[in-house]
Amino acid sequence: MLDDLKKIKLKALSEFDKIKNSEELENLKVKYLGRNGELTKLLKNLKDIAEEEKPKVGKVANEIKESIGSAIEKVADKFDDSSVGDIQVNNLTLPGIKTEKGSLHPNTMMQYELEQIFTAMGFKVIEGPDLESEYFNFTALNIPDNHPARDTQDTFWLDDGNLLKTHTSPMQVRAMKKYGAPLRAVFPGRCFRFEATDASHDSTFYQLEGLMIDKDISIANVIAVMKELLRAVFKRDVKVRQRPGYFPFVEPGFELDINCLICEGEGCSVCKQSGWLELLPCGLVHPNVIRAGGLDPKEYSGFAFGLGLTRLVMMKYGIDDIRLLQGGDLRFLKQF
Amino acid sequence: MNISLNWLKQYVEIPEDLDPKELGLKMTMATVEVEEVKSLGSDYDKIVVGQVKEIVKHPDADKLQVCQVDIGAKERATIVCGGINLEKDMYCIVALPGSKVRWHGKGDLVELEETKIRGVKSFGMICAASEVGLGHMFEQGSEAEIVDLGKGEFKAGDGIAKALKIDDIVYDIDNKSLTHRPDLWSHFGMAREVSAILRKPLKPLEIYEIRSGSGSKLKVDIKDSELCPRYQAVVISGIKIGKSPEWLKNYLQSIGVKAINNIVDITNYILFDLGQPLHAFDANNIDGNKIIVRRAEKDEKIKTLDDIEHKLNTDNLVIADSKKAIAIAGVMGGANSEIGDSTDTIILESANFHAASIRKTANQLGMRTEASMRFEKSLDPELTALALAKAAQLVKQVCPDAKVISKVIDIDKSKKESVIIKLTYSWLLKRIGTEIPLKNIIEILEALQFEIKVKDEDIIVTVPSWRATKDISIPEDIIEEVARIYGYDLIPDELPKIRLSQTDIQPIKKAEYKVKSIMSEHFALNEVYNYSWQAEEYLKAINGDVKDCIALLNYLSPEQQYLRISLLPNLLKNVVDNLRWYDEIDIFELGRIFTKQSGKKVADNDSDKMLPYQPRILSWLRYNKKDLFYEMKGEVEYLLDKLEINYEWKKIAKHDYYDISRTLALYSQDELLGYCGVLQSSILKKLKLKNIITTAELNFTEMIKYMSDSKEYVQLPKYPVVVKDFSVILNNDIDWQDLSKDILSLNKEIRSIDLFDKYLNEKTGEFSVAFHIRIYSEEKTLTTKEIEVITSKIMNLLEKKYKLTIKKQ
Repeated sequence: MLDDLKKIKLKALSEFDKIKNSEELENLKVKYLGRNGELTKLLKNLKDIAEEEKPKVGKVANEIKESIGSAIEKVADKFDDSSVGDIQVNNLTLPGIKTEKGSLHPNTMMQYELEQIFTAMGFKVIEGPDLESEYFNFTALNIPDNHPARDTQDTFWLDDGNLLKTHTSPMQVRAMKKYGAPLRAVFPGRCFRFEATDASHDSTFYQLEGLMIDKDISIANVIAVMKELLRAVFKRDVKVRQRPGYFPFVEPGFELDINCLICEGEGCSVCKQSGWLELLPCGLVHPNVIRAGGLDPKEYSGFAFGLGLTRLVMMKYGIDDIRLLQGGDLRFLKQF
Repeated sequence: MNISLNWLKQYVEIPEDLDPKELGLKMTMATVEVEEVKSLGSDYDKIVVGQVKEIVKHPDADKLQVCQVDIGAKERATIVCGGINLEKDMYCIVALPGSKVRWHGKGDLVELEETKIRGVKSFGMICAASEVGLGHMFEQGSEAEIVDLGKGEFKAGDGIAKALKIDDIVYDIDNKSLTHRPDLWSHFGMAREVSAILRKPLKPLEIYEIRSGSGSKLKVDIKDSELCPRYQAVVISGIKIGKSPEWLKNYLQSIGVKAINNIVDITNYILFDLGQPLHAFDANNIDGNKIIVRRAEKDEKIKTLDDIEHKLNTDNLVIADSKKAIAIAGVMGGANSEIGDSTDTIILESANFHAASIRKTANQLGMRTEASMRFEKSLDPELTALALAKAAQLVKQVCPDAKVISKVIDIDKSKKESVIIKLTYSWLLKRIGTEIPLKNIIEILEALQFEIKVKDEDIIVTVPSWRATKDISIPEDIIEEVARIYGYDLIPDELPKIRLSQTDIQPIKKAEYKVKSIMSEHFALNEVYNYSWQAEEYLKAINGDVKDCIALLNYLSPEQQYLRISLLPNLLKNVVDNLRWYDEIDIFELGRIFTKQSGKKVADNDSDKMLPYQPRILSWLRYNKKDLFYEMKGEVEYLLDKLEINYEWKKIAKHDYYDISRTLALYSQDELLGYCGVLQSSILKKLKLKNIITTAELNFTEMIKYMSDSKEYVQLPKYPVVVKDFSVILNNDIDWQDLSKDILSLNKEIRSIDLFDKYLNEKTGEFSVAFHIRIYSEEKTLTTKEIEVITSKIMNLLEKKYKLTIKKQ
């Protein structure tokens, strides 16, 4: 009797090992454990054996039953329903099921990154209108009618006498009027220039303007804040230089150049061999602008700067044609 | 603007050991942006002066000679040459192997190699003017004529650029960077600046004096002295028009100005030398011996030197004689009084005009000339006398018979008071943000020719006339002068000290972050940025009318003509453009539209003029084989729930582009916020689109007002929750919103209704829905009886009020 049991155990386990699918498993289950199964039949004979042997044989029989049972479980796990009959699916190197994904425009991503940096530095983020008046776009910024600086900003004029803003600077005055001083704010926004389009110029682009108004703001402050900003944007120390630049709404005004990131200042085609990239016009806010903002320039001073957001986006992602940004081509947009 | 280094050296001592590039950098760092430093001599590398010592006929070619040429080396060079004007002992231009020349003056530059010509070795070539780009200096009769440098004053072997004095360095300066500096539009002005940067003395300008003559009775009459604050003129006879001397031509050529004739070249030279535009009229073509400076008459015509006829208006200032306009003041002379070969008497004009008026005229006529570019910057009225005297002196130098035959006419109504600015030393330091000794500040300002007086704390600055027209007027301008010459790079950074305050993020910004994240991540849409205008074709596709659009006055392509009144036209264009690569398109945009209504933003200072209403719109669109109405409605609802905006859907009766049977309008507190629905099939047909477009448009600007932040925790149920399922055959006229509201108001123990199934029986056309109703009490476990009461109330409502058939479970 004991020998029979052991034989069945060995036979059963070896057969279970060879099972290829859950159908075979089911058959084997019936073959051994079914009502007329081999093990069941054998156990039925248990009543015929000597009483004193019963506990011993019974114990062995139970052990065998258990080990066959756990073998079945193990094999059954292997042939879970979903994988019935398909050995390929067990190739774990196949890609997972794709999660549908959308994308943010690269400009949005860059803009949000900058907004976070400025928010952390205590700046408000405010957006202004795209359709702007001549007063806020020019006059309030110390660019009176027929000022030559109006030429440097080719303007789209509208039939209602207004214009499409040529820079984000109008928000300097609007923000001062609304929030007074002290004030720290950045104004990201869409700008428009009436000029022919090519790979590096578009009629539409983005800037991010910044303004800080407080008591006793100095040139030393502007330079320090700009360096802090560039460190945050480029995530490393960037060599900068500042030189005079003329913008009617600042006095004095500078151009802040950064050491070319492509050639590290050696000179390359991107920086036109100069080693420097013009990136950040800035300066102390002109007293006429502070006055237009409803504040007293004797009491308050401040600085303003303009970041070429579109330019940063192109630098960051290596985009060589500005027109892709407004072109709506999904082959481009889906990359982000 | 081009600035020649040799020209600068006339006025300021520039150390010989200062690299020209270094000087360019110093100018960039202190004053103006130097875009390029060009070395004119570098084109003439390995091109030298040679002297022909021996000429022998080529043994194997009729037209060629074999020359022995002294090129300053030990050995003479053998050069084969076909020049027809070869002469023994003549100096000529030799291009040595390795130099670059243009064969026969045509095509690209080619590098020369030592070669054999018909069996004879030739070490380089003797050049014709056109072959080495010197056509402007040497006339060339035929192609075979070589440059003849004559027989004296040259040294064989000298580089040709040096020998011909064309080895100049030219600084290309970005005009935009000197918009505010009328004094810098000349070599003398730039030299003044360089002298301050290098702290090298400025050589004083030679002051000439014009000795009045007699013979001419020319009179000048200024009709509008606001537009012409100063007008000077002299009449000079004995003019012989001819070529300018070499030195004058060289200076003009170095900065890229073509030499024309002696008189015109002199006026041009003064313009680039001192920055004062001059004009010379042929006196014989002036009627009535009178110059009148007046506003043009309406529609008055004048043909200018470039042979173009212009129609003027009364905003334009002209120079006229007793009969006709002879120049557009400050812009360009007229053809009728142009200097020609036979001119023998000239009227030389040196005047000052009103900056804004010149700019307006130049813009109106599309004529930005060297003269107008200077006048529009506000020139110093003191400059006219200096320029006129120097010009008259040069005319005499160039035309020996020239004689001034009039008085120096000078009608001067310009303002004469000096600009004086007072500031304090401590304020100046505070604005710069670093300590600079007072001594240094005074030194810098004096180097820039400001007059300084120091009285206790005060610094009193008198501005020189050439900086006083507009450029320098307030103490802040003095800060810039000091800081830039001191060196911005020497100012140590210092972060501002601020009073601690909280940064508040605007609610609209918070909403934007949230919405864009949901759109891109949750709804898996791709964000697009479209232009702020739309092509008329796509506007028409959605039955829009350009009459509703604000139009642009100037545009470069027709699609820029009308500002967008909806995001949809451009989104449809995105679909059409992308069909080549994708058959399902899922995009969104958050952008402004522009209406003709008045908005809430002021347009002017202290007036009630308002800008047009230009809200930000959030639109998304799915192009798919399936009608995705319920999916998109679900998205809108999800979005509004996330922003905690209460809303209501309403059916619509009419729409320009939505299919009203598959569209709902969205309201919050009775304000229409947008739509969600399927586009009319006729629109898809127009655009040849095969699939269905489901889209939602929400007024983001207005929607934000209804955002709230009032989420509150609801106690978890303490007693069992009973869920009852109902399935009813729904009538299309029934508004689900009303129905659920009614059910909820039946009993306070009814907590929520959730639709979980919709089913359309295609055979019967019956449409049924199934929903869960959750029932529980906060006070106790509801008894079976109580639940039955509630359930029968619900059934009663469904069957009696709404007349719905309840399906058996």
